[in-house]
Amino acid sequence: MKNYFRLIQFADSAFPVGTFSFSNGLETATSLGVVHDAATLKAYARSAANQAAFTDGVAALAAFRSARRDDLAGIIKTDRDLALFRLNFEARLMQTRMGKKMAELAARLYGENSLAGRWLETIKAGESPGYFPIAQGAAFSLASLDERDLFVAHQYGVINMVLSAALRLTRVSHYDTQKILFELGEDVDAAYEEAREMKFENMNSFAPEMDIFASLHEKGQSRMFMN
Amino acid sequence: MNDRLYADTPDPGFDSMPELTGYTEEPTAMYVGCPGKRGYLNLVFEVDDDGKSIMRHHDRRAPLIVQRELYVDEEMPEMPCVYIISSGGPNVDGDRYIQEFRLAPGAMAFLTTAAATKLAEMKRNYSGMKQTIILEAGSYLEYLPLPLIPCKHTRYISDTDIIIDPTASMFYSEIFTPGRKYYKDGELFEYDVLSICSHARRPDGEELYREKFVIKPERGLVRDIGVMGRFDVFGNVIVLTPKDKADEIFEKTGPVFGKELACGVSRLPNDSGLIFKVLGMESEPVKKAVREFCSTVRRAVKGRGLPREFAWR
Repeated sequence: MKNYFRLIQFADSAFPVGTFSFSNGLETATSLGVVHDAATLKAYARSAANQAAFTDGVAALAAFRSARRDDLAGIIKTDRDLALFRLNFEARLMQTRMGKKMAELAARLYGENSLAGRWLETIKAGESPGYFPIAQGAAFSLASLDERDLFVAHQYGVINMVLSAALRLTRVSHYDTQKILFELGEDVDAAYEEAREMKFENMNSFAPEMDIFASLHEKGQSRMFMN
Repeated sequence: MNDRLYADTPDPGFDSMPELTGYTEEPTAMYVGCPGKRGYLNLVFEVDDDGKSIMRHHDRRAPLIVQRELYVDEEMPEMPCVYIISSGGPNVDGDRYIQEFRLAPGAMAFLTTAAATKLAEMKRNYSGMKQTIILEAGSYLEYLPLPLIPCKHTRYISDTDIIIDPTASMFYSEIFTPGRKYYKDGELFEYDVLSICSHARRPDGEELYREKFVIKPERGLVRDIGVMGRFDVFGNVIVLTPKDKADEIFEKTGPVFGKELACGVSRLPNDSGLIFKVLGMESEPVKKAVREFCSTVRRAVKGRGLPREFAWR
């Protein structure tokens, strides 16, 4: 029972890592009218989840496996590898802010001498960038959760971030967003089966329209979200 | 099979990539690695005693061909321009190409292809390209190949390794069409897989960025919002340049989101440069947007723009 409790705690949108400040590019997509209803929102959320699965998801799993071996150097290496993949400024900002908060929380929960505490020190020293998926991987390992739990929480977090922002950005109801969340849950198993075998050189993402939304957002004037 | 291998050029070693699973059967026609199917190009640019950039060295294996460098850029007449030709026509099952370009200190070059790269239908194997680009101190490369046209059931993989000095600059663009859009009833995203990877590092080994995208249209996600959306053609540009130049280019490049064209620029990690993405309905506007962006880059780095494109290209 304890493991389920920890899983729900870490995956909860109320877990204070600042998820509410980010829209994952949805703010621009709605302002352009590209996302305007439940169907278009679902397609957008699916893209966000899919591109995250084979980059952040793979990195989270690698960090989890390093944490299992208490391998701090492995965590730092995965963190730096993931940083090479983050090709836009706001995504880097979002993930390092959330990552540092998650590392701070994990250090509080498991102690300064825990792996999370030691990794937090390397983030503060500028030796590790502190990306969110890495922090998730470390925290889930410390909680003795399974890597499948981690992957599910990671995908849930990406989709839920987009859907929560959507409630404030476009004309969709709670019924719509919960239905989308429910339906996209169908894809998680297949994504995990593919991601679990991937190494750094296999990590990939293809979402050029989202990249252009991010570019528009970075140069935009009126903004409610940080990305 | 090994005794039949054409050992003159190495194999790029893509067979183990998971996205190519199921596509490594030996072709029934010419075998993988046989003469004419393993192209090789090694080009070295240097500054000669008169201070002029020249192509000092070129080594080539069919089907890849280059002829002598031309000085046809009216805005930068001192820059050698080289047109890469693939004499075999389209890339077919089992083709492997290796391209290596090196720019010595202070050298400059403009590279392109003579025609669009057609990737023919493949039944048993795949086509692959491994590139290494080395830019030494103060060198400058513009590499703008014409678009890639992946036909039905094409499988194509490329890996581009860039080693760049902090004082050098590089503009590298790729344009991907969805297929033979106007062939018969139209061939849009009917290929099997496109796997494109590029990564850069400093001469001391410091890694700068890595991008890899794998497109498998049969998954049915390529038209999703956020991926290609309603657009057909995708242009991807990597600019590696010192931070002050990147800042200037970033400021001068406005994002666009229109009916026919969308584009935007972002900063690469480690202050290494910029990445520019373009989506369009047709190749021509995407090519135009890429060239305009190249002009902005050239102005920032070399103080001059791009000439007007030749009417036949």
